[in-house]
Amino acid sequence: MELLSDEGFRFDGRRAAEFRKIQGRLGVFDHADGSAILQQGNTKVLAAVFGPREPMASQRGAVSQERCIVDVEYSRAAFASAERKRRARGDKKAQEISLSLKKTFEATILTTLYPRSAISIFVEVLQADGGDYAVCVNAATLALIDAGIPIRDVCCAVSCGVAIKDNVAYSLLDLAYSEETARIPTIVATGMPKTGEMVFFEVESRLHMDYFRAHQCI
Amino acid sequence: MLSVEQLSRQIADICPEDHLKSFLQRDVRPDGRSLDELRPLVLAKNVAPTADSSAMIRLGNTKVICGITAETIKPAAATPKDGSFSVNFEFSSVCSPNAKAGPPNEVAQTMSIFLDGILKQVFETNQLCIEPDLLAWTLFIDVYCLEDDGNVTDAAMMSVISSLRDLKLPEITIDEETAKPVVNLEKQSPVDLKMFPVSTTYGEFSGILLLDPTARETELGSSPITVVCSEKGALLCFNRSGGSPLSQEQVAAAIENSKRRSSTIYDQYFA
Repeated sequence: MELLSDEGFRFDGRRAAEFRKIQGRLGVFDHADGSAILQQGNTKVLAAVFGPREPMASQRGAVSQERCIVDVEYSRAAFASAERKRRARGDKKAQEISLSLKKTFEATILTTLYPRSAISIFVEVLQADGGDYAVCVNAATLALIDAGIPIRDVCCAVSCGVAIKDNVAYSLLDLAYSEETARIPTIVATGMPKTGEMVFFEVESRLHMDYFRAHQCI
Repeated sequence: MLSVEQLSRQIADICPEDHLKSFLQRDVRPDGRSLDELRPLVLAKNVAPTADSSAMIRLGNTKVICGITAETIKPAAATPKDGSFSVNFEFSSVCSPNAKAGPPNEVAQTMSIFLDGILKQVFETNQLCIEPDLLAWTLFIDVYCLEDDGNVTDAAMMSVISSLRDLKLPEITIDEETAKPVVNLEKQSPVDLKMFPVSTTYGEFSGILLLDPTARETELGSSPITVVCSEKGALLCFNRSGGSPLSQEQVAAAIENSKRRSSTIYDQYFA
């Protein structure tokens, strides 16, 4: 599959720096303090926020006098991807993603405003068509906004692939599943637009440093 | 100044039983429904295009989503002409503030067993056979409760049946020369259900039966009653796990009511 045609179009007709269609709604769940559903292209994620509230018994050990505990749990419906993958909740992949989401939001939420409390963020991926992690971050941010929890800045994430054509590197923003599986170097970045700070940055493939410097895709 | 609604909600939080009793004395429930009235029911089909068929049910604030994925397997040696299905029900982590990572809790497992039991009665697995002893379909039925405001049972049952109804399996033939399966995506056929089970759940509070209980009505009462009937009035399941005693008339009335509801729901959504 050709990632970028000669005219500059991707497989679904987008330009290199073009996002998929974004649709979202806040306040979809009654019982959660804040909730949101976000869809980027065919990737659909639900997020719910509970808190600030009293920490549960299992969290008592981590209670802090200066700040609140941020607890994130990520899970994925078995039918979310094209091949059914039933993973027990709390498996390694989910835990890794939960942990990085937790670190991201610990940095975003003004935790010092709620000492001895806990904020729980739950994220459920209903449909996975690429860029799942980024959409999870965005959905969780929307849910936090819906809950009215004070945050440092709006936390946005994007997945980006590097397509090299004629020795020029192009960043393909908001990757779809078929682009992710095309084995190109992928970068997932989470940042705060106003301050320009980066919260999370992950590259899990080989990428030549020359091309990397050219990427100010954030 | 508090509005009437805000005041009512505060009273409901402080003395919930008295609050509910005062409504029931007037034959009405806190949300304005009569004792045997259903909450608004919304059925949305094909909500998860990555699954082979899916449905989402909204019953008041209760939201349940079901997705069915079909895969091919070699039939078990003991049953060479049968395919299989497995039902997996989970409370999604967005559903409850007390969700924990790990295997589904006992309520979820009980629900899986309940749905599986009903399906065994209405769904024949021999229709899933492609080639005896060689290839058969297996259906993975995944049900997630996204929000629990009571009566997840009825919503879950309906989401499963709706998804099964919409499921279409492509035709697979075994090529005689290569002995390999050949998939014909042009020809897709639905699966056959012997009958359409519809579940009706009543909450029980002080001897009064409340159709389609909300989460609050369920937790205030003793255990709910679930009756599953087919659209033609066949009784498939009667489930009451302990709780305060019911009279025989109440049981008979509950079953009669369920039979009527089953044919109404069938005519409205599945006919």
